[in-house]
Amino acid sequence: MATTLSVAELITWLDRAVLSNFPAPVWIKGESSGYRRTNRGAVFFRLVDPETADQSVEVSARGRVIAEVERDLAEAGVGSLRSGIEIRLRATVGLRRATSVVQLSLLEVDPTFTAGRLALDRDHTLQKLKAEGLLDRNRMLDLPLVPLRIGLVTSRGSAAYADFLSHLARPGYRFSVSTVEAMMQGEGSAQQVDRSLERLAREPVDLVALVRGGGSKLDLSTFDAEAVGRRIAAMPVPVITGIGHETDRSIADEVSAVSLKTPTAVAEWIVARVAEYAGRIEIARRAISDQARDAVSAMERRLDRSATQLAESKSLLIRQEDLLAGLATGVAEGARRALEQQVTLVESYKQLVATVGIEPTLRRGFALVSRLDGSTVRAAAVLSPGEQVRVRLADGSVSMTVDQNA
Amino acid sequence: MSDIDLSYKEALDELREIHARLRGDDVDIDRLLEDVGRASELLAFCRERLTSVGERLEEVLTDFE
Repeated sequence: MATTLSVAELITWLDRAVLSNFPAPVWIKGESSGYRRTNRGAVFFRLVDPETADQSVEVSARGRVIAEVERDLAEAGVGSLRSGIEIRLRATVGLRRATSVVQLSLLEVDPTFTAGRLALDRDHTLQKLKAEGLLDRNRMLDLPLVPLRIGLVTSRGSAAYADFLSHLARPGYRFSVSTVEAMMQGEGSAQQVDRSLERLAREPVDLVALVRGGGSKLDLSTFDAEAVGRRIAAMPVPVITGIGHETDRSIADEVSAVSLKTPTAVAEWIVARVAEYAGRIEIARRAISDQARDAVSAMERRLDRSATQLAESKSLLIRQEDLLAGLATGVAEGARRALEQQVTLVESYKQLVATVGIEPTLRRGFALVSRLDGSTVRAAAVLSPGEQVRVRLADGSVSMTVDQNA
Repeated sequence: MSDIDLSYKEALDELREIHARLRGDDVDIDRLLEDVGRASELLAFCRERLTSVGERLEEVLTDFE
């Protein structure tokens, strides 16, 4: 009859088999899944073979080990231990007797392996976005001339949030900031960032700032998430990132219209853009007022010239008045002179007529006596003795002296 | 005067015509009174025109300065 083993005996055999096969710790790689942390600080997750997906092994780690692992990962810039990352770890292989499950006891992880896998993932995502023409989509949007309505995605209460707002508030422009909060790292942060961006896409904002506080080595995985990259590419307004890292550029940086180092730099960029526009307005305002002033003074000069010319027209009038006065005098003089000429003419005719009338009388023996002043003597009584008179006869005149009254 | 329906220039030309006629040697006495009367009318017309133009000009120039 075959030997019958008790459960305990079986497990002892299994335990021995495992131990004999894995006398020393081994290096093993896989993708983390079902990450959970107990109240006492211990961590459990499953390591899945990415090729087959249906084969996995359980990993556990005590609090002290986890603290070291977390520190190593953070220094490599890959963030904390979590589900969904490829890791290479060193562990002892053992059997948990209570459930006869093989269990790995975590000793350390290889942070460069995870960093490399993440970088590969990132490159892969970038290539995908590029192939779909999403890489430049946000950059192609026109940057707002006067970005005063700012959509802000960050974690409220963070230093980034405070820095951003204080630099924006400083110069006294009237910014309105719509903040939609999102966790900036850790499990589920990429989904939160994605949803926050989506919300701001429906808000009337000029641009969206995606900012996170600084630090030496920070988890970029949130900003390397494909969903975040796709969301930024689909945003109707430019996205400006300031996610506080010095070395690597995340997917979010690659896809956004402008990527800067820090939240402060983003705020300063926005302020500078508004200030530049304000400066251009001021230059335009001066140019307009200068041109207007020039136009007015040119017009004034023209008017002055016109006024001078008009004033000269006064002298024209005066010349006309002189002309009229001359004509008036001329007409009056001409008329008088013409009349006088006629009077003289008539007078001479009268004398002629008078002279012609006396001739026959004289020939009949009469004489015409006249005084020396030429007046005709018509009565003897008017003459005095001794007065000289002229006596005109038919053939000539003689001078006579009055002897006495007859 | 109101029966004069001439421009200033026409009135002035007529005035000059009368003036020339009166300065000539062969003045028509029958027309003399008529000429002088017409000259008087034309003169008054021209002077009135000058006066009103002068007044208007003064107004316009005042607005200018």
